[in-house]
Amino acid sequence: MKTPSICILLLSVYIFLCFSLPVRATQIFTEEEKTKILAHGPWPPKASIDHTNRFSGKSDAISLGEILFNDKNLSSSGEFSCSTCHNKDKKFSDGLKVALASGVNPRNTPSLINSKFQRWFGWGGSVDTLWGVGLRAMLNPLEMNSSAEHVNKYVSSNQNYILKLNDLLAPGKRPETIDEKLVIIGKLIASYVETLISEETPFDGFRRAIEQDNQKAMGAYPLQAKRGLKIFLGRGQCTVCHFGPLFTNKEFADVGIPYFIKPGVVDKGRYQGIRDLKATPFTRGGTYSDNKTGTQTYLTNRIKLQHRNWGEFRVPSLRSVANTAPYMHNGSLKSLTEVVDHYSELNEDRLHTDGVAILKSLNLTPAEKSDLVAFLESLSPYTP
Amino acid sequence: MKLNKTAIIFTVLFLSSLANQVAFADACLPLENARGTLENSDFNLTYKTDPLKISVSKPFVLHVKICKIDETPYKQNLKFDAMMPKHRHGMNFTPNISKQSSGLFLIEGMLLHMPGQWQYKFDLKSNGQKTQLTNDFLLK
Repeated sequence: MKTPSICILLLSVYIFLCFSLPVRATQIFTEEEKTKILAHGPWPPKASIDHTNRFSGKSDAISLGEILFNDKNLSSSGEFSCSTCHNKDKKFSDGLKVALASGVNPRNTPSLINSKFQRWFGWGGSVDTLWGVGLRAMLNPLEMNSSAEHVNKYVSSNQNYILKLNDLLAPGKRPETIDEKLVIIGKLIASYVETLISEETPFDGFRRAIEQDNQKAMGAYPLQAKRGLKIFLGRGQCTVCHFGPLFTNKEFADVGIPYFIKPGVVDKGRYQGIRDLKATPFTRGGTYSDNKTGTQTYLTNRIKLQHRNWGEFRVPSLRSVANTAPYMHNGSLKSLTEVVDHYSELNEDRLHTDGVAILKSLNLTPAEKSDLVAFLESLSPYTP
Repeated sequence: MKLNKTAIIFTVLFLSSLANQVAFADACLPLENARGTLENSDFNLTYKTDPLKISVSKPFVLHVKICKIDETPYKQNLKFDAMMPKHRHGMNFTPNISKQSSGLFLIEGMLLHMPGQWQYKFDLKSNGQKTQLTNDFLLK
C-alpha cells in the first residue's frame, strides 16, 4: 500500500515540474525586461535600397558583384580578393587576429554579415558607404594594394566583364574617368555584400515567443541563455551600446582595449576615422554618390570631431558573434569567454571618462560568466 | 431708446471680440501636443519631436516654439545642445538650428546614441542677458 502511494506522489511531483518549469523560466523576466527584449527585433529588419548605389538590389549586378568579390586579379599582385579576408566559410571574416594580405593590418577583419544595416564602416568609421569601404580596402597598400589604373586595365581586358558591364550600364550613364570606373566596381561588389544577412537565431525565436506570449516556445530557449540575457539587460549594462535588432547602436566606444599598435604608434580609432571620412570622396554626399540627399548624408556633414573620439572603435553587431572570433578592433581576445572576462575584470583606470563611468567592472562569478557566454552564443544562427 | 441700447451693447461686444481676435492673431501660442514645456520668468518654451516617439540612435528633428512672457514671439538666436550630464558627454553630431517664423525654430540632425538620462539645453537671450532652459528626461 505504502509503495504505490509514494509512486503516485513522485509521479505527481514529476508531472507538476514538467508542466511548471517552462512557465517559471519565462517568469524570470520583468515587464520592463520583456520590453527591452522586444526592442532587439524583429529580425531581419525591413529590406531597403541603398540609393547612393545605383546597383543596390538589382539581381544582375549582385551576380556580377559576387564574381568581382572573389576575383584575385583586382589586387596588384593577383594574390588577394575581397574573399581572401572575408571568407564565406568563416562568416565573411578570416578567423585571424589581424588582417594579413599585401601587408599586416593592425586591425582585426570584421565580418561582412549584416553590414548593409550599419551607419559607418570600418573600425574607425572612415567611410559611410558600403561601396566606399570596399574601395578603401582595394586601394589600401596593406590590403589589396590596387589602383584605379590597375582595376580598369584588368576589367577592360576581360571580355566577360565587358559584356556584363555593357548590359548593366545604359548608354549615356557609362563612366568616363578611371575613378568613375573604379567606383562602378566598388558599387557592384557592395550590391553583393548587401545580400549577406544572417539567419534567425535561438534568441529571435525566444523574442518572438515573448511577442506572441507563447509559453511553450519560450520554454525552448535554454535557461542558461535566459540567465545570461538577464545579466546582459541589467547588471551588465551591455544594452547601453549593444542595442536594437543589430545589437549595436552603430556608433563608437572606448571599452578599455589598448590602442598602441607598437611602442610609439597609436591606432587613433574614431578620431582618425572622422578625419578620413571628411577627406574621402566615397561618401553618401560625395562626388560619386548616386543620391546625395537623406538623413545619413546630413549626419555625416554634421559630425563632430571630439577629443573623446581618441581610442573609440565601432561598436560591433553581436549577431553571429560566436562564429567570428577573435574579437575587438585588434583581435586581442580569442574567445567569447575572454571577452566576458575583459568586462568582468575591466581596468577602469584605463578608460577615458570625465563623469560617471559608463563601463564598470562587472565582477561576475564563474557561473554568471558561463551564462553570459551562453546568451551570446544564442545570437548566432541555429546550427544543423 | 431701448433698441438703441441693445444695439450699442451688441456693437461693444462685437468690437471687443474683434479686438480679442486681433490680439490672439498676434499672440505667441505654445505648440499644440507639445512633448515638453519649459518656463522661467521671461520665456515659455514648448517643443515636440518628429517622429513623436524617439528611439536610441535613430535620427529625429525637434520643433521648438519660444514665446516671451508678454506672449510675443522670441526673435533672437537660439543655441541648443543635448547632453548626458552624468557622463559629461553630448551628441556625436552638431545639430542645425534654423529660425522659422513667429518664435518657431527647427533643430535638425538630432541623434541620441545611448539610452539613459539626457538633458536638452536651450540658450536664449533676454535684454542682453543669457538665460538657459533645460529639460531632463530618460531615454529607454
